[in-house]
Amino acid sequence: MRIRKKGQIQMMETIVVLFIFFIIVILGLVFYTRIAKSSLAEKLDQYEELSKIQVAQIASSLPELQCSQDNIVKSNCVDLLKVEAATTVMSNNAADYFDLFAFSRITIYYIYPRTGNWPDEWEIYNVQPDDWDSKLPSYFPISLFDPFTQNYYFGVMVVEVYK
Amino acid sequence: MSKSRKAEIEIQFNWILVLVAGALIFLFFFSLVRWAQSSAEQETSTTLVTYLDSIFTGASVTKETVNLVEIPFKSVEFTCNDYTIGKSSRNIRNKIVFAPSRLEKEDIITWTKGWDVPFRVTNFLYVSSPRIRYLFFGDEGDEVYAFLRSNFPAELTADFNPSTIINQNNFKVRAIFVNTNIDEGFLDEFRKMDVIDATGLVVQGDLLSGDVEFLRKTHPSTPQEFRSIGSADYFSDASLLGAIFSEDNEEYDCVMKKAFDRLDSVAEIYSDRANQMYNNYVDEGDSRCEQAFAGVSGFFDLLIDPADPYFELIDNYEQFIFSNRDAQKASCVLVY
Repeated sequence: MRIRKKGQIQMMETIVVLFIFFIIVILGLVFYTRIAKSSLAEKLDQYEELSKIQVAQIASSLPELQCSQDNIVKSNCVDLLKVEAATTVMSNNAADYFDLFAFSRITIYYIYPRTGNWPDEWEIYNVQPDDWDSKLPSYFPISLFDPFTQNYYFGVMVVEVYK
Repeated sequence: MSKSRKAEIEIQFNWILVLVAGALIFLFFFSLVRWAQSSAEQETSTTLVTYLDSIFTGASVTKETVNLVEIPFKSVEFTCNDYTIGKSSRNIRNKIVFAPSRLEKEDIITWTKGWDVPFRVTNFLYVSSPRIRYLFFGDEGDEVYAFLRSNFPAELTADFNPSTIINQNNFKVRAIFVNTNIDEGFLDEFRKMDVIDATGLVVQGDLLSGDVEFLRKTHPSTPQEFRSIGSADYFSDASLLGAIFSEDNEEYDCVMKKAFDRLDSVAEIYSDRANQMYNNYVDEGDSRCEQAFAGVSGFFDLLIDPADPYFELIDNYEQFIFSNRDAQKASCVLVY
């Protein structure tokens, strides 16, 4: 009877040790998962930031918009006649440009001086996802070249990436 | 006696339980380590692929630049549409990237060149490695050969008309025959290399246009010679360089198709712009500029979705240059 009890006690001990061990392992896993989740969220934020920078880089260097003189490109300058044409062309070929800009919105705002018959803003590209929480905007001051008068105006290019 | 045996069985059963539990714990930790290892590898390759994408984007928006990128990965595999590091792939998207099918370890060289037809359509990005050897053969007086000799990045490993060729254990070798006959005499030196790692290109044409034939070395067990795997056209030096950095005509054609898709949009924008400029000069009564812009829109229209884009580019190239020059002479806004 005594020996039998000893065997049972040993088995109980083993089961209790295993139980405690697995509780500790589960706690460890829960802790690890939480840390991994927050690190993943941080990484995702970082990737989204990188994607925003990429869209902005591409948008500000599009030959479809850039000012050029005999193929010499003027940096941070967009040709207003190209912009006018690009709003139609880029929306008609949205699938091609989706590869470049994904879910984002690119708008050019005319700021100063308020002369001529140019509109206040041009929406160059806008493809929204079905479900989005926020937009991450970036602002780039640019020159707007008016080929009719050969004058330069001041404007802003706004690149917003849907999140 | 029977009680004692039962107790013994219980004690032995306890040991079996410990053994089974131990094995399960061991298996659990083993699989946990495997999972952690594979997820860490996946995370690393995803991070590298993302950073590489940013590097390519940054490089592709600045023209005429050569960048050396040091990245600690085993290898990166390229196709026309995506590139892969480990298990992570990334879509190249609309970037025009010419690259060998595989790059190994450490250094990557990116080189950007504008595709001007003659107006800028986009930037071409060439990706390669100093561990790939380029052998150029041609006449020193040939304009294409001279262009390659003076413009090929010093950061890459290139030999121009080498007198003797010794295998330097590069993981890829590419021979480029510029308006000259194919020389297969050195191929024995690279016999052990895989057929996709020892390739060639025959260039027939000038800096504006021509055609290229893609070659591959024969299997190591057969006599060493080049065999043709296909041919293609090129337009401009940038497109020719694309053929040099691509390994086969399918990849080259696929990348060029993306470039021509982009040309459609850019030509449409320039056509619209030229048309508006023409109408503006008509309204203003500026006959010199009106004349300079007359019909220009139509030349751009010829480049929108043509049946043979290479033919249309070659046929209209000079017309664009003349139109731009005429606009410049008449002190008008330039066409491009």
